[in-house]
This record gives sequence, structure tokens and C-alpha cells, in this order.
Amino acid sequence: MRTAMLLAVLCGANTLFGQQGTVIKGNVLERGINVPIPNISLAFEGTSKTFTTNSEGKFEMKTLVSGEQVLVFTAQDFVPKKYSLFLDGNPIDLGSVYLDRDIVLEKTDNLITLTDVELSDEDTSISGVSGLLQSTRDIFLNRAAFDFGQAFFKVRGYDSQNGVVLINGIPMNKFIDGRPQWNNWGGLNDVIRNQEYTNALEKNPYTFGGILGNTNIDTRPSGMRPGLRVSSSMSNRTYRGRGMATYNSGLQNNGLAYTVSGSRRWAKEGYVEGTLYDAYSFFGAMEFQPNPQNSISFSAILARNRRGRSAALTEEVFGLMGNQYNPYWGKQDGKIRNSRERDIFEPLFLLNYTLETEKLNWTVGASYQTGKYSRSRLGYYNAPNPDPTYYRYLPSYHINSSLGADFYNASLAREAFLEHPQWSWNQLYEANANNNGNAAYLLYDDVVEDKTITAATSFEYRLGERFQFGGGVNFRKLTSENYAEITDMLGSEYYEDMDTFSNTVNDMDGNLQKVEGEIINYNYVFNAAQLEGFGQLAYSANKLNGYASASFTSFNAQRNGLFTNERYLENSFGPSEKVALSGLGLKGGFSYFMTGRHWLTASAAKLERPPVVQNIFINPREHNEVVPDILKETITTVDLGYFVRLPTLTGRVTAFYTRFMNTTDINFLFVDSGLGSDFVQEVITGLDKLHKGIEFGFQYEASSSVKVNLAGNLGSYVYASDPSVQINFDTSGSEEDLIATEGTVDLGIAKLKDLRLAQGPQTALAGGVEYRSPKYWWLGATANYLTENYISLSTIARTQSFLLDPETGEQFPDATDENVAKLLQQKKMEDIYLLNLVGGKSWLWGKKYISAFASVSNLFDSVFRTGGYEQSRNGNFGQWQKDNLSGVPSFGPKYWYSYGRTYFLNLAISF
Amino acid sequence: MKNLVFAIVGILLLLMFSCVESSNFDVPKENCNTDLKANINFVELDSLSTEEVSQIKDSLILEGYVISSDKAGNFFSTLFIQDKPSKPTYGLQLEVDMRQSHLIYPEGSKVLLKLKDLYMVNKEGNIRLGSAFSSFGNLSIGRLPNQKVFEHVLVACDGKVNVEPLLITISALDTLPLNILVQLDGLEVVDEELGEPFAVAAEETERHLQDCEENQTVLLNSGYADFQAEILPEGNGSITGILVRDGKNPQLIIRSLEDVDFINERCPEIITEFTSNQIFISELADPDNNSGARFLELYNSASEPLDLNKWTLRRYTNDGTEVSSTIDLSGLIIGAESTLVISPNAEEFHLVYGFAPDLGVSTNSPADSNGDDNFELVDAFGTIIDVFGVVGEDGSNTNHEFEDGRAVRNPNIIEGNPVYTFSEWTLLNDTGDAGTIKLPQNAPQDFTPGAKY
Repeated sequence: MRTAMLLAVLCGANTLFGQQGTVIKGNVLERGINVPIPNISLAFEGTSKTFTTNSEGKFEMKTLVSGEQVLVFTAQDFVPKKYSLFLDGNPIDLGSVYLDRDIVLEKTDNLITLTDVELSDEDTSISGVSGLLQSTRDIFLNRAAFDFGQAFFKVRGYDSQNGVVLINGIPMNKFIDGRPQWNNWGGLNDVIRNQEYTNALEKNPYTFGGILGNTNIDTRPSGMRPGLRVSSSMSNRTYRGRGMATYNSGLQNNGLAYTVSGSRRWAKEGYVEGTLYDAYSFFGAMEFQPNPQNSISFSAILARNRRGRSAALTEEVFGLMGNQYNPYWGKQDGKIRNSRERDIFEPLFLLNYTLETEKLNWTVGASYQTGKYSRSRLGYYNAPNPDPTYYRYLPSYHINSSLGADFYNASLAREAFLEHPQWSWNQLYEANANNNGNAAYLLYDDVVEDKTITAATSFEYRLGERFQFGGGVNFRKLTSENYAEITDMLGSEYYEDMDTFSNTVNDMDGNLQKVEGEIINYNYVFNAAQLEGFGQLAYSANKLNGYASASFTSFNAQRNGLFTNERYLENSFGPSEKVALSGLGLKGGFSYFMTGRHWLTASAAKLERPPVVQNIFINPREHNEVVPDILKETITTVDLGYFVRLPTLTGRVTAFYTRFMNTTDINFLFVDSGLGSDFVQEVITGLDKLHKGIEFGFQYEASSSVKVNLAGNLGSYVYASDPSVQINFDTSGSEEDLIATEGTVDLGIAKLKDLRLAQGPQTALAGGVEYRSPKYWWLGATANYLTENYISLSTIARTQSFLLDPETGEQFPDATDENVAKLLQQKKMEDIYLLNLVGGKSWLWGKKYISAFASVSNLFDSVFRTGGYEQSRNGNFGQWQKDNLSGVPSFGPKYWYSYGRTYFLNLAISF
Repeated sequence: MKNLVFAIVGILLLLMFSCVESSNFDVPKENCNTDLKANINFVELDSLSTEEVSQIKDSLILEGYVISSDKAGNFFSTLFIQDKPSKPTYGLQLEVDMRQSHLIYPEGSKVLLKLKDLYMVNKEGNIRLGSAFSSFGNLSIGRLPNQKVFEHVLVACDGKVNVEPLLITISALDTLPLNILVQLDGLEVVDEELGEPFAVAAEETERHLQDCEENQTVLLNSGYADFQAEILPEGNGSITGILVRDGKNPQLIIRSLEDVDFINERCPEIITEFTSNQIFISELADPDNNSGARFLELYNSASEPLDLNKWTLRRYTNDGTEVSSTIDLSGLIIGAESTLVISPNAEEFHLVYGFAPDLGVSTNSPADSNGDDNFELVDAFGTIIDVFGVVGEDGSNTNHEFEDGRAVRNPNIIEGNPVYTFSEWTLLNDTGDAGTIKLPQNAPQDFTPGAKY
């Protein structure tokens, strides 16, 4: 700061030639070790134009702005530094600028452990979006990622498919669900730290992007800090321990730079029982920079992540066993064996070329990703469900008995459940041994084997001082093999590949009897391709910045069945129709600078996008049928913001209003509906959603070492239409058991309008304080309050069919509007109070830099529900009502429960 | 620096392969229990049991052998356990809320029952164990909740044994203990149920089995069994099943169709229905002086007696074409070259003729004609063997009138005739028309019941 004032005084002496622009130069060094820092970005507050330092940390910039300005130095891993300058056309030499290493760096490591938690069940999955936000410095988004994220808060209530993740300009979101798969580069925090995030509708140089925000991860070695960094962590969240090491050569004289990184994370058991964690990751990248303008790089990312999954629980089970309970595992020979492991290994290879000149930035890249995503499951065939939380084994089963509440046996069941909350693998082997070689139980993997080729290019061209235009094209092609594969026969000799409910064969052309390593149940390929192009134009002036972007997307998808399924003889084998959809996207926005310290922004977008692949095919495991009259989704969104940047107070307030229209959703469920009982695919079309709210984040620098911040979101995310519902099922059972002989029933509309979306807490507030000691330690605390968190609804229960008595076909006499409304009232989860602490210290030891970081989340060890969903089993009024009479329903909502108090410790050494 | 890098890479590599279990597991060793020892036998258990449902309070352990199996769905939620693998002397039922229990407790498993806390009842030798179920204050045996079953029923290490069913006969079923595995040889499905399925869908169904002496017993089948819709086998052979009792009646329950081995020829048929054209109407009487002494006489000209099971006599009154009355001759045997006399008024007949008729029937029956009616003699298979008169024609003033008189078969006739032939008959009546003789007859002197001529 003292240097800055001195410089300001020096520069203030020259007052002429203001209109011609000012040249500013200097070099940037890391304090303490005096090593130049490349890739620092410099910009005047309130302007969008940025400059960067070269590989020797030197910079020289010319700017047209004049008068009193604040120049900000920002760089990854460093505390931003501001200089107040008076610009009048005279050149300024700032000399050596020293930046302090950001000792808050390890916060992102902490974030990863927090967001590693993923809620997923049969057909519902909630994944946090926090990963996307790890590089942003926005106060609100920081709170959203680091604190609200623990309660599965979603920024603006958006699904993560609304944010595009790119690596070196190549989009990485998956076709199947549109979401980025963070596990593909998990554990490589050191090398993915270099991220460029644009929030919400902001213009992004590499993609038109989604409406949540978009991030580009730059893995080029030249952008990373040279040297070696080794760190190790301990935690009691998803993993217990982590080791990570990264070495970057820095740009050598021959123009080459390389980086290698590796990490391992592990846990025999995470916070939740039986959730093993076994992940290792490798990264290697080589870059050739013949000159500062041109760069060719090759990166390989190999991240394998194997985890034991856990289940959502009913309140009954939670009440008996608590939030760490997980029914998916059992002991075998004294060792924990989880029946539901998830194993992701999808190596990624990227080749990139970048041209960076004063006027033009151009990137071209191609990537290839291959590998497997498997989820293991225990199959049981004409055998009892081994899940200890199966409804027939729980106390509630006896209390809800149709013969009247049986408290004696409920108490026995309770006793037995508490005594044996996990199943015995040995018993499963025993059952197989008693079944004449035929598998009563076996373990299989649901496998997705994707091969994705992507090519992408984008450019930005500076047209004079005020204009910039850019654009890009990317093409992605996916071949996705989907099948189930036997991984362990559990002592049996063969498996009869049949559906045990309808006694029909899954693979008519294959052997009926299958063994380990063979494909069972289903086998099909998705082929999908997408071409996306965008163009954008930006304008910047002193008072006004603006931009406009347009995109065009063309998409097609096709299923190719490899099994002839006896339940769908006509349309299970061979290629489906080719679904082709295209969409246009438009967005634009501007900022108006009232002064350099206060400005207003407004932006709007209208996007059309094809539904994700998993919402196009009704039941791809069994047949080719496509959702009838499939429509592309339309998103319209507007946001308005106010930004303030005073020397001691910074922050913003943004209001947003977004409507998703014509969305499609498909659920798989077993339902006792008013029309009959069956496994059905529930196809929901014409579903509109409305997200509106206000988000804000302010930070006040009480002193140079104390910062106080306040952030929050006041949102309202609701269903905005009554969608159409259709159910589909196979017709191979005996006719009297079928809901309808056509295999499909149109249930009309579901009354969902104005009900809340299950998109995490809709209201969130946080207050925080941070103390940063000049002696290189810091401490932060945040108090958080989150509320308005609603459970996911059963759609079929909101259709007219819910009112019908399956016995008579007539409406239940009790099913009056009032009774139904009472029964189906959407459940709101409890308010959440969280206190989180973080702190760290760093030491400089010769040229070695040592840092320690610790965080404690949920200090008061409170347990709350982070999400939940209504089970669809009770698909008719009578059954739903009866099941709920006792207050302990057998098919009540299932919830995910929070972790209690958890910690994360990290020690890192940089050389 | 390089050394350091190598050292770190080395440490990392070590970490890579540490700590977490792989997903490969070996098949575990047997899952059985060697620690428990039985400390009570079935006899002792029987003596502890009462007709009232009561809870077992002591740490009793009973050893037994599972004889039931729910694999085919004929058993549901009940395990049958007997004391020994062969020559059983006791058996019991254990109620469990468990599906597909055969996977854990297949037939032949040796099990150890931890009886403490279980409820027991013994009604007429049927020992049932399980949980309690209370309804309106009445305690009964309920199904033991699934997860509790594993605590109470432990598989012993001796492995599966071959349970030898006790070979017995139907007549001995009553004397046996219940809930044991028995085998009966030479049984077959009764004629009436041939062609029927094992059970009516979704209904518990009783089927009947018999031996060649026609001793019967009940086969009890579940309407939910896999083989419910299978047709009952036609042959004769052996059947293995668990003996239960419904009230006093023994019943058998099979585990699967493998328990039914009806591959032999059925028992030789016992013929109970016969025909003969050597049986015919030999005399019809309408005495002028006493209508109470009317009778009808049949004659068997053959040298063998004949069982008239399902034979009938039909009367067509006046000119009627519909049968007006029928006499069922079942239960009567007509002797060789003998008569069979049927009277509508046995008392009067005895009084008049001095002996009782072979069969007394009601008035207005075929034996009570006033002489202008027509008759048919029909055998067990519905064939008309003999006829008197012409159906549809009133006998008055015809060649088949015997009003106030008598119709008697001519002595040379030795077979019935389904077509009325006047020349076979001698008719005496009060008109004398159409070749008949006008000579009213009086009882007893003008009639010859019981004698051919």
C-alpha cells in the first residue's frame, strides 16, 4: 500500500496529454521469494479490458482511461492487489510489484471434499454445482459454494446442466444428462486451478454457454506455477486421506513446459457407513511454446474414482439408525462390502493450439474420452430382498398391517433391525448354494461405456479500442454402450436372464443361462452428435459496456438395441428412429457505469435446447420408443444487477427471473396406481418451471485484516404449468393384471402448478467474518441460515388417476378436494443453521512455502435433511391415506440427511 | 530436486495400493452354527406345550429337520420341522414371515431352534411355534418377523440330509403324529377329479386320493402354488407329503410335483353298473277288487344274478309322452331266474299276498298303474331294455290295457323287448278290446307275484 501511494504521488506530477492514453509498466514478483509471477491479469476496476504479465512477470499496458483509477492485479493463488493511480497520459513505471501468496488457496481443496457428496438414488440425483464456482471471487458465489453447498443449495435453483465446463476451450458436459462429470478430473486440484469463470449470462470467450455460469479450465503447463507442490489431507467426509503431488517444469528455454500431477484419496469408510472411497488420479501435460503467441499442448487426465454409495432413508429408518446409516453394505468375512459401488474411469486426452496476439485470441482443440462408468447392484431373483430397510422388515410394516396394528411384532421387528441393520453376504452365498446352481443373488454392474470425440475452436478479435467480436464452433460425437454385466456370481453357477415378474427372456438371441463376465438384462448403444456454433460482439466504453451473442445447436440421437427383449419383440432390437432437434440461442446484456464505483447491469437470454438424452427415450434399456412429440426446451431469463466497489465495501445485488418451458422428464417407478399396479415409466411433458429471486453479496473491509461479509439468496422456484403425464409398461403379464393392454395410458395432467421445485433451499443467508493476520495466518467463520427446502413430488399422485380406487375403478368417496389437498401437501424440510470455521497458516522456510489449512463444517453437529422425495408406490388415495394413518408410513418420503460436524485438514509444501 | 520428486512419486505409488478393500471377494466358508447344542427334545417340548398359547421363557434349544419347502409356493410362511431324518415321531410348524425361505432352510436342513421368547400352542397334537398375534385380546400364533427368524432358526453344520418319509397307508394316517413327512404307495386321484387342476387359482383346494380299496384321503393344494394350474395326474403311484389334520381329517401337503409319482396303471375298475336284456317286465297287476294290491314284477331269465345299480323304471301316464314317474332300482339285486316285485303299498301287498314285496314304493309310481299307462325298463347306461305299451297312446281300449286286470309275459319270452309286441303278452281286463281278454281279475287268487308264471 505504501508503494502504491508513493507511486500515485509520483505519477500525479504529470497532468498533461490525458487524451492520448497512458502507458503503465512494471514487473510482478512473489513476496518473500522474489520470483516473477507470470499470467497475472491487470485491469482497471469497472472496465473489462485486461492485460497480463509475461513469463518473466513483466507487463506493459496502454490504456485510454484517465483520471483517478484503481488498477487491480489478480492471479490465481495470490491475494489481489489494488493500486490507486492517477492517469493523465504520462507513462508510469510501477517497478516491482509484490503479491502475497493467497493463503486461502486450500479453501478450494476443502470445497471439493464438501461437494464430493452427491445425492443419488434409483432415479433421482442431486449433484451440487459448487465445483463450477470454485474459482470465482464473487462474494455471493463464494458463500454459495463454500457454505450453502453443504446443504445442497443451488445457485438460482438451477440444475448443474445449466453450466458448461470446458477444458482448454473444449466442452465437457455429458450428453446423457447434460451435466459435467467432476469425477473425470477429481483429485487434480493443483492442475485445474487455473479457471476462468463467467457468471450467469456473462459473455464467455469459449462458449455460448448455459445460464448458470460457465468455466474454462486451462491445463496448459505454462499457465501454472513452476515448481513442486506436495500436500496431504485428512478428513472425515467422503474420504479420510489424500496425498497429492504436482510438478511443473515452468517454461524452459527450448519453449517446452510440462506438468505431472498425481493424487490418491481413500477411505475404508467415509462419514456414512460402508462408503469406501478409492480414487487415484494422474495428470500429464506437455506444452510447446515456440514464441509467446503460439502454444501447442497435449494433456492427459486419468482419474479413477471408486466409491461406495449410500441410500436415502425414510424418517422411520433415520429415527432408528441416524444419519450415518447406510443399508447398502454388509460384512463378508469380517470386511465391509458395499453392494452399490460406483466406479468411474474415463480418461481424457486433449490436444490444443492457442494463438494469443494483441488483437486475436484463437484456440483450436480436440479431445477424446473413453472409459467406463459402472455402478454395481445386487440382483435378486425369486429370492427375498436382502435390503434390511425393505418395508416388510421394518416395524412400520406390522403397525400398518391390513389386519390391524400389531405392536408386538413391530417391536420384534424393531429389535431385529437394530440388531442386524446390515445384511449378511454369507447368507446370500448360502441361498445360492441351496438353489441348484441357479443364481438367487448376484452382483452386476450397470455399465456405461462412452467414447466421445470433441473438436472445438473459438476466437476473439479486438476491433479497435471499443469493439471485440468472437465466435466458435464445436462438434461432439458420442458412442455410448450401455449394458449390465455380471461381476460376481456369489457362488452360483449360472443366471437365468429373465424378468422374474413376467417370466420373459431379456436376450432372446443369447443363451438363457449366463455366467460371470456376460452381459445380462439389457444391452444397447446410444449414438449422439451435436454441432454448436456461436458468435458474439462486445462493445466497451467508459460509461457503457455491452455484448450480444447468438448460437445455433443441431443435435441428433439414436438408440440401437443389441438384445431382442421378449417383452418388446417388435422394437427392442436394432436402431430406433433418429431424433433430430435444433435450437437457437440469443443473449445480450450491458453494464452502465454511473461512476467507476457504481454500475448497473442488465442481461437477458432466450435459449432453445434439446432435452438431454435420458429424457428422450422412454425406456432405452428395453426398447426404441421415443417420447411422443418430443419438444426442445425453451429457456427465457432476465437478470438485473447493481454493483458497488468502494474502497471498503464491495458487492452486488442481482435479481433474476427465469422460465424453463416444455421440459421433459422420465421417471421409473413401481406404483399401486388408481388404475392398477406395475413397474412403469412415467413420462412428463410440457413441464414449465419458474425461477425467480434476488441474490446478493457484500463485503466490508473493516480494517486491512478484518473483512465482514453478508450474502444471501431469496428465491422462489416453482412449477409453472400442469404437465401431461403418460405411463408406459410392458404387456407381457397376464391380461387381468395389466393396467391397459396397449402398454401405455395417458393420465392427463398433473396438478403441479405453483408447487415448489425440489432444487435445494430457496432462501439462504450467511454472515461471515474473516481475519487475516499480517503474520500469515487467517481465520474465518460463517453463520448460515437456509430454509424453504422442499421435497421432490410424486407426479403420478397429482394426476386424476390418484383418486380412483383400483378395486372398483370408481373415485374414492373420501377423495374430496379438501382431503386430497391435505394428504398431498408438499413437505417442507426443516430450517438449517450452520456454523462453519476455516483457518490457515503459512510459513516461508527458505524458498519452501508451507501452508496448513483446517476447516470445521457444521460446528454444532446439527443433523438436517438436505433433500428428499415422495415414493411413488402409494399411487392411489386410499393406499396413501391408509399408509399414513399410523404416522409411520411404509412408503413415506425418503430423505438424505446431512453430515454432522466434519473436518478437513491440509498441509502443503511448495518448492 | 530430482531425488525429491522420485521420493514423492514413490510415496504416492505406495498410497495408491494401500488401504481400501478391492471389490473382489472370495466365496465365504459355510454359514452354519457349530456352537449350539440341543438341550430339549420334541417329547419334552410336547410336555411343555398347552392348548393355550404361551411364551417359552427358558433358553431351550431344539434340534430338527426341515421337511417343507416354499420353493414351489405350495407352502407359505410356515416351516415344518420334524425330529429325525427317518422314522419321525414328532413334528411341528413354525410360523415365519419369510418368503422364499427354502433358500436359507431348504428341505433336509438340520436346524437348531432357539425357542426362548417364541410362542407355542398344542392343539390336538399339532404343535405350532411362532410369534404372538393378538386380535381382540385373543392370543394366537403369529408369524415371526423376517429378520427375527435368523435369530431363532440356525442352520447346523451337518449339512443337508435326505429325509426319509415314513411309509404308511391311508388307514394308518389317523394314528400318526402330525407335521411329519409320510409316503403312501398305490394312490390315485379319485375319478370325479380327474382332469381338474391341482388347485383353483388363488384358492386353497382339497383334492381326493384313494387306494385300490377306495380308502380316501385329502390332498391339500395352495391356489398360489406354481403347479396350481397343472392337471392332476391320472396314474397310480406313490405320493410324499407332510401330514396335517383338519379337524379329524388327515390331509397331505406336497412340496412340489416331484412328490407325486403316479406313473403306474390305475386300480382295476370296480364295475358297479351292468346291463342285460334278460331282464324284463313279467307281470303288471291292477286287481279289480283291490287297487291297493297293484304291483309290478320283473324277471331275470339269466342264470346269474344282476346288480340293478342305476336301473330305472319309467311310467308314462295315459297318453303322456313325458316320464311321469320313475323308480330307481339302485341297491337291488335281481337273482338268477328270479322275480323282483315292486309294490306301491307294501303293507297292503303283504296283507293280500302273504309276503313282502322286494321293493316298496309310493303310490302313482310305475308300480301303481290303473292299467292304461305305458312303461319302460332302462338299464344303468340309459338303454331301454324292455317296454310295455306304446308311449303316447292311452291304453284304454287298446292291446295294452290291463285295467282291473293283469298283463303277464308269455312263458316263452326270455328277453326284454324295447318295442311293445302284443304277441309276447297275455292281457286280461275289463274291456276285451283289440285282442285282449275281457276278464277282470281279483287279488290274490288271479295273480302270481313272485312266481314267473
